[in-house]
Amino acid sequence: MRHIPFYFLFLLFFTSIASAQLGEQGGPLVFNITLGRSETLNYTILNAGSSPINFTVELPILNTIPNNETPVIKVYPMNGTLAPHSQQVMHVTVFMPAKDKPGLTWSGGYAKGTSGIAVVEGSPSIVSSGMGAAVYAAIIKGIIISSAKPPINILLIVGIVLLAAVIVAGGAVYYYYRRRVVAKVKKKLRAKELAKLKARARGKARKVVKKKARAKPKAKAKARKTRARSRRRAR
Amino acid sequence: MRTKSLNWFITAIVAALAFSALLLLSPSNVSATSSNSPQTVAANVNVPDTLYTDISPNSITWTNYPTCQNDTNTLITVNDENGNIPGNIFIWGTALSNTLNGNSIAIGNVLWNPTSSNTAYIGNAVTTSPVNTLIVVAAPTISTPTTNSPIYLGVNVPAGTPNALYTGFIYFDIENGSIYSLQPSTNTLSVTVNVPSICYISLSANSINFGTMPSGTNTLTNWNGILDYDPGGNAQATIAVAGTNWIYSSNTAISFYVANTVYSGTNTISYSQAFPSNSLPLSSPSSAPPSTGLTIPQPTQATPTTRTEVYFGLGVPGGTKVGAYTQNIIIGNMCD
Repeated sequence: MRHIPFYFLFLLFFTSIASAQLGEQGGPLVFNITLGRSETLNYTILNAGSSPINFTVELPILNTIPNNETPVIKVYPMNGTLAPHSQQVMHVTVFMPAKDKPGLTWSGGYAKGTSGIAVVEGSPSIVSSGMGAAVYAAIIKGIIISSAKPPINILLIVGIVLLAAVIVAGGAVYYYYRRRVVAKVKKKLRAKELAKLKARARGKARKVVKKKARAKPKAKAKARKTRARSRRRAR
Repeated sequence: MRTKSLNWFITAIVAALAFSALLLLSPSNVSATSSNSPQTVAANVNVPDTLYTDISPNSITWTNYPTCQNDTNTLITVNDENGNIPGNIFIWGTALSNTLNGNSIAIGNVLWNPTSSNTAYIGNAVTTSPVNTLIVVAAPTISTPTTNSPIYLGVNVPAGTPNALYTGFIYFDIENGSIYSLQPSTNTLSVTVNVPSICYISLSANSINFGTMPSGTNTLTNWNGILDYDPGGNAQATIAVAGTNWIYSSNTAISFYVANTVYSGTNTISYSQAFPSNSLPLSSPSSAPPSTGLTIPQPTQATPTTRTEVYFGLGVPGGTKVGAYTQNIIIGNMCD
């Protein structure tokens, strides 16, 4: 009897077979999320039994990657009651940290020490005041998350190409018209110069004519004088 | 002699003329030749008892999980278009099958009901031979040449039915005694059942009794097994476990660590072989149970419930205060 204080009593709770029939749609939730963005996927849980099932959600444990933040996961609803023969859609939203590297993968439930999203019958986080180990059933949804580079913005590229095309075309048109204008101006200038040259040439010619015209009487007079002189000598 | 021949000739002409006169004076020739006189044509037709069967829609798709039923509320309208007598709807069908996986859903899992049931899967099983539903389609008339009656269908997906699409046909016919629907009748309903993959969980017990244990001892090879069932799913599941710390019943501030509880897929090893590699991790709302690597086989139609036993052992740390302690253990099935 004096050994009794050193003994523990782990008393029996119940020995009845749990009859609830909690189920979940198979397959993992696979996310491929752009850095800094979030994505929501849904899956179905159901109660195929004839009694209602109260449930609470436990969030997954993902692997950690050095120098990168682990994505944040939110599940809705976090608790509730599944009526007999009813289904419930669970919404899972994953937020991808903006500073993480692209091409990384996190998973829950596929590697030791990690876990998926657990939907547990009842509220196991609240330890009952009874004795012994109470056992709760759960269904667990595996989760795989990959980080992706922001996709190439095709509109932006198209815009840039269009802008470049407009600039090039504008430049070409500008230079084309500029060349035409310059050519016109040059032509005009040349025409002016030519006109000037012509005018000058005409002026010179006129002067020559005038000079010639002036020179003619003088020559005649000179000739006349010469002839008169020769006649006088002959006499 | 000449006179005699002439007489014969005259007699023959007179006879021919008389015959022609008789022909001309016959009633048919009189009516045919007199355009103004009234005509009378005797016509008759025999219209027999006639039935036609047309249904709307001609195809339906149900999506449901194994072990689950659709309410019997999918409306099919059965029409008699251009018939002339009332008749009863007869129904029969073929199994819904998937040729790739070789499985099928027996046609008896499809129920018909004369009224809609939005809350339950109730009604009469469709069979492979025609069954009189006693649902009457009224006789069409000249003013109402099409009459119809509704019939409602639902389906049950048997436990263990693999994830796939199952297709089959249900036939309808309006009949009255020995009178069947005439052709052409569009009386075939194409049925597709989409069965997604699913896992269920059900545990053999919701508590473990470790009994009375002295401090500083463990369960050695006395393992406490819990059977983890998948009753009626169709995919393999991986088992995960976690728990909370052991809390002293009289004072919640006193506890010892969850890791003192260990799990095993076998009961032939000792506690020390499982500790600490198979210690239970701490469970909380922010951390779900990790995988143990143990699996529950995929249920099938032949073996609709599969199970795996998970064994638990406990070591009580030395110096632990006397009294009753409580722990919560979560056993989870992760559906592959």
